[in-house]
Amino acid sequence: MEISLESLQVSVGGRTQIRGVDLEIGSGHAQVILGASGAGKSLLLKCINGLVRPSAGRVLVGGERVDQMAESRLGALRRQVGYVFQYSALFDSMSVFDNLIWAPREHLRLPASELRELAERSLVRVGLSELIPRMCDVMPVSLSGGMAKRVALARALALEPDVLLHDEPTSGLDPASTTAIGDLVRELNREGGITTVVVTHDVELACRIGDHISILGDGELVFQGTPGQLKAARDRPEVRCYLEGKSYSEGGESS
Amino acid sequence: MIVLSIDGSIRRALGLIVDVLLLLERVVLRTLTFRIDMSRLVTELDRAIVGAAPLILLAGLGTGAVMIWQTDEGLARFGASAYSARIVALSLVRELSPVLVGLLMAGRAGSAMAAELGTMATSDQLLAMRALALDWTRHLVAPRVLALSLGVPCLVLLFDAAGLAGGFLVGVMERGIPSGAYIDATLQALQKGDLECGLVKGLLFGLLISLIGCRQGLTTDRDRGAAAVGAATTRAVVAASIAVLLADAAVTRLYLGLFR
Repeated sequence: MEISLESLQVSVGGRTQIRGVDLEIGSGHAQVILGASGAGKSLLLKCINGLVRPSAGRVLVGGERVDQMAESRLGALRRQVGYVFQYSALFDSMSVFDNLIWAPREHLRLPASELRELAERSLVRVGLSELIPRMCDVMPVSLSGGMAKRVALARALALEPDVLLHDEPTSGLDPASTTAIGDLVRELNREGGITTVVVTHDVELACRIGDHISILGDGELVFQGTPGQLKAARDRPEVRCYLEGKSYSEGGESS
Repeated sequence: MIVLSIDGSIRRALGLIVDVLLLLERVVLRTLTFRIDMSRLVTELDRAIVGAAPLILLAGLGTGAVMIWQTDEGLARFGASAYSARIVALSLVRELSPVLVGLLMAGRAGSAMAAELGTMATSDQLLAMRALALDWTRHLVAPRVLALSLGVPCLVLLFDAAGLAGGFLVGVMERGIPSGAYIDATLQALQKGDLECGLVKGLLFGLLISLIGCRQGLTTDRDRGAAAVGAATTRAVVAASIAVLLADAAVTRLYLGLFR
């Protein structure tokens, strides 16, 4: 399922956060959007599944205009576009099992035995087989950060989406968990053919999992290319500024 | 400064009224089309009725007991003790029971709803529901609103019973009113309409408390975290308590106008 952002502009509280972003993401591709905190990465991601309405421009997912879609129709789209939140956003009053089956039970109307199989399959896909025997008893609050991220990913996978949106998939994780989650995201994209969009500030992760990388600086895309092209463009001022953690303006760099 | 503050308060009150009406519309639509999470409705009914029953029972017993004490003591000065049981029964069933249950439930259930939904808002759980195409009106709001709208009238009945029992016990044991006379006076004083009035008030209060509690929780500012949840909870209790008192006055006026 391909995604297209055309002249996207998003304003929040009267302030323009994203300005004139154009981005094409091919079906089955892995697109990474790099950017510093507050650059508007998460907003951009939320525009793709209609959680945020842009103030101007067009958002197309699978050829359909998301930016003009009624909330009632967005439901059908969101079943195909999984979203994994930065802080997992698991339903903390429910067990892991209930977190996994809530949406499938609502949308797919499967019998209890199939829902259980679906939950088990989702946990296996994210490498949490050891959680299966305890999934009905374990509450999200007792999970480690890495496990919570995986459960959140399993929850999104349970609806068999065509697109997965990851908001900072490795934030707050130790290096080993960061590597494991990065590998998992890449594997799901490569083997599952799921169109993947990842927003992160981690350059190393971006180069490892992205087919294409874009850098969002102060609401505008300042770079687009492959990981190889990013490495080659390290000397470009706008790229160097981001990689060195500085803000960039046309007139020159500023820290 | 004072003018600005009043202006802001009016704006907030109007915003609350509009949001509550919109939320009510969503709940009515889900109810009429049977799109309500029934398992959650059962859970919420249990919380609203069974969970609150001990508190209501205790409050009712205490209120009835203190009322007969005060009323009988006061009326004895004028030699009108014979009216004590009637006055207690009427004022309990018509007025005190629904209002006190309403205020207690505003503190108990309204605050819980605002805190729960507010926590879900600040931890992106509401956003996650939207991302998973889950309808929060169906799963979160409608079960709470229906449960409290059905639950508060039941609690009003419980308060009535406990209050009358508390009045009876103290009236007979402490004030020396003969038990037969107390029961006769109570039964003579109460009419079917008095009970209905209390139940109608209970239904309206339950509706208002739950809608206000849910609205305050859902509109919690996610960027302000725990402080925003606390503020939403406080606002829910204050707004629901005011709504209960205003609605009580309106229903009393309407009731007296229609049936007297």
